[in-house]
Amino acid sequence: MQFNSIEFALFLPIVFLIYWAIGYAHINDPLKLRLQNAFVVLASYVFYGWWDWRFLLLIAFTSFVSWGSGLLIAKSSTPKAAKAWTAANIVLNLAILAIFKYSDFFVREFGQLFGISTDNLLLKIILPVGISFYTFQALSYSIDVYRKKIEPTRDIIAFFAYVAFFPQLVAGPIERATNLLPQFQTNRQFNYDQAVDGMRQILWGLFKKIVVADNCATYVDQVWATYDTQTGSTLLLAAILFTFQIYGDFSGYSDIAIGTAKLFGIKLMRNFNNPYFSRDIAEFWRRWHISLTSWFRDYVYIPLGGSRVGKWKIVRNTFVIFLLSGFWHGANWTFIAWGAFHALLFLPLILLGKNRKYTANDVTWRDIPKILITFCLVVIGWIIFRAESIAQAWDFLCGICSSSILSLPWVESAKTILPIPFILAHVILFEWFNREKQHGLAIESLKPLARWSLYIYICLLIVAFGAQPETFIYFQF
Amino acid sequence: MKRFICTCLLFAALAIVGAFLLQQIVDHGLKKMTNHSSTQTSIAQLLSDTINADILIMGNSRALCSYNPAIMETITGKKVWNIGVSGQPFGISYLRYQLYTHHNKQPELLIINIDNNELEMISNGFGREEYYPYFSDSTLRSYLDIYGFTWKDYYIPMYKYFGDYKLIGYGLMSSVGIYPFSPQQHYHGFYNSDLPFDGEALQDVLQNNKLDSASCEADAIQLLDQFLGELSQQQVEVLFCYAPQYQELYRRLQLSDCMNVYRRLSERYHIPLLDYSSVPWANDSACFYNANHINLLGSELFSSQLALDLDSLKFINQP
Repeated sequence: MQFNSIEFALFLPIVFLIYWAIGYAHINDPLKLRLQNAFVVLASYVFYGWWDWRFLLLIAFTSFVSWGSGLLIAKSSTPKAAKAWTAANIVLNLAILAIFKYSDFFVREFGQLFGISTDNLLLKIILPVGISFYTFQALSYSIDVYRKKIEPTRDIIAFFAYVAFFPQLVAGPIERATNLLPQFQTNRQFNYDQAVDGMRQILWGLFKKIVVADNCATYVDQVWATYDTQTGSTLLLAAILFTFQIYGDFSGYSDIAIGTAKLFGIKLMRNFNNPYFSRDIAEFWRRWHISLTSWFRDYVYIPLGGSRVGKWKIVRNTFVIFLLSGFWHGANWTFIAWGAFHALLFLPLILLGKNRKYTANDVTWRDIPKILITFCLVVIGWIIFRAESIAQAWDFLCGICSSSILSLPWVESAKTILPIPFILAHVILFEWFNREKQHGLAIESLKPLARWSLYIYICLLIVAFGAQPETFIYFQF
Repeated sequence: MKRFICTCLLFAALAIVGAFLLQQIVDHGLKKMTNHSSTQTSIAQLLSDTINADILIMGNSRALCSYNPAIMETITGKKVWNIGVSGQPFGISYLRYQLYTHHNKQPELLIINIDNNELEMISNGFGREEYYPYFSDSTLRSYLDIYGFTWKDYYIPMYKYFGDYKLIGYGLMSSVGIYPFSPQQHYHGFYNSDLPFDGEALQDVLQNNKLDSASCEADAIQLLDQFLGELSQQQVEVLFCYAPQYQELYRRLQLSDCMNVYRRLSERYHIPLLDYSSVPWANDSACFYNANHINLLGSELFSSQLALDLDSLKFINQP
């Protein structure tokens, strides 16, 4: 079920009403909690099963194994045994991920390396939606139990709800057990202000997805399909629009997910903090896909020694985290190259000790030149990310650098391209003026009339400028 | 909780009422617009009882620009109307004919334009927006399945206009009397822009082998067959007519499959088939604005000849 569908518009209020009907039922608190959590699991499985019910077994298996491993880790009599159970859970979860997501990639690359035909060996399995997200979420639990950051839970229903909570099940934010699991272990109270803010965030997320991302996608997809015949200016425009497309798509999803969770009294972690207002690449990575970046930081980078080691190890650690981050996105060399590209941009900053220069949320107009330079670097990265092969990315970049960069970009129809500057101006201005807040439509301080006028205005923009619905890009990861 | 639900319901009610009112305004404005990208005979005209033609012409853009009612009326003395629609094959022409007959009298003679692009149901969504303002008309809706409209288009306010900011803008402007386009002059549905011949387009088609392959869809053939049966029962005279086509293109078209269908139906229902594809002037680019479409001069020549032939073939009962 997609967030930008009629089905979800009907599903959400029904689930919301039943969930809080249980919450307000005259029964004892422990039973109420268990019933609410069981209902969250049921609703989440319906939400996920809407795509493909067969993969529900996989989520259930991942959840059960990770829940069981948590108990076994806690029961272990020696640290060695606890470590073994943790390792076993990590290996099992990563093996499932590898089989579904990476097996064909490795087989194909192996075949190419040794000149062997591997067609018969390819598994050609459909990639389960969101597998990378919920696998990492399940992993974080067992690692945190092993590190004694969290007590293992005996409540299997709460744990299943933690892994499968539908707003963030298929595209994050990748939650930590330390943040989300305790919320499923305590009674939730309905909070009016939180719920209203959730609705605002959902509206803003829908705007970014339906209006910004899907409109940009129309142009971007056309140009990428014929990139070898396009002028440099067209390729550049497509690259810039893809930069906004992927932001609108993914941060839009995150906003809807976080806003939806607020309706259920659950606070999810922030996933985007205006990444295109970053003043250098290090800041960009503190603002983009925060839940994944911090996951790799906490579970890979810091255990490797982080930046408190020798220079060569810093270089190694930086490359490890960026290459893994790239590879997490998919089984393609382009994602690895994208990670390597960002590692190369990040390295000088960390080696010179400037990677934490911009940690405060204090961007001003004076920072615009730095913001633009960072934006340009990010655009180059997205070209590598969007390409189907390294060769295609290279051709695309060469195309941009050709003399045709000075020509006018190709436009198939004015209808598709004309509204884009208008739309982008909205997203940039709203997010700029609310850059210190949680999302672009955090307008609770305005007077009611102004607030409601803005809601209606955003709704009108969605109706007038909404594009044909596209699947969220990050579902494939 | 109650406060939240009330606020949400209030917002939803405002949004639905607002969307409904906006839709009414846009619908009203678009109904007033006489310009459409695909046809000169608007849905408003088809749904009115003002056409009542003796001779009706249906078909695609080649029908639209070839059959000149003014000339045909002069020769035949009958009221002639062209309900041709650009960019759409038989499926859509059939839909338009059904709308016409719900509010107008049956024609004495129906001329069905035939060619290599007609035997399909629908070519794309081109022109579908013309029907948006009339969704409340149950007659119209019963024929609209072909466009793939769903209950969402019919019942969710503004859903049909989703993302179409231009159309919404046109509707709003027209509703307050500001028409975004000056109306095109046409007579009884006929329009010909009388442009000079576009040889480059022809060369592009020929060199890059972009010839439209004549496709004969089983659904379209079945519908045409059924339609001809109905017309036969209603005693409407029918004529198949192939309008002139520029010969350099015509010779390259593979028409045998389509023409066999038309000939078979022609025999079954005793329908005359007049083929003007290769009239002597079909080699003269002065009579065409592109290889598929004749220009004003061509339409005058063709319509005169057709009208005279109708007369000589005793198709026309003189008034």
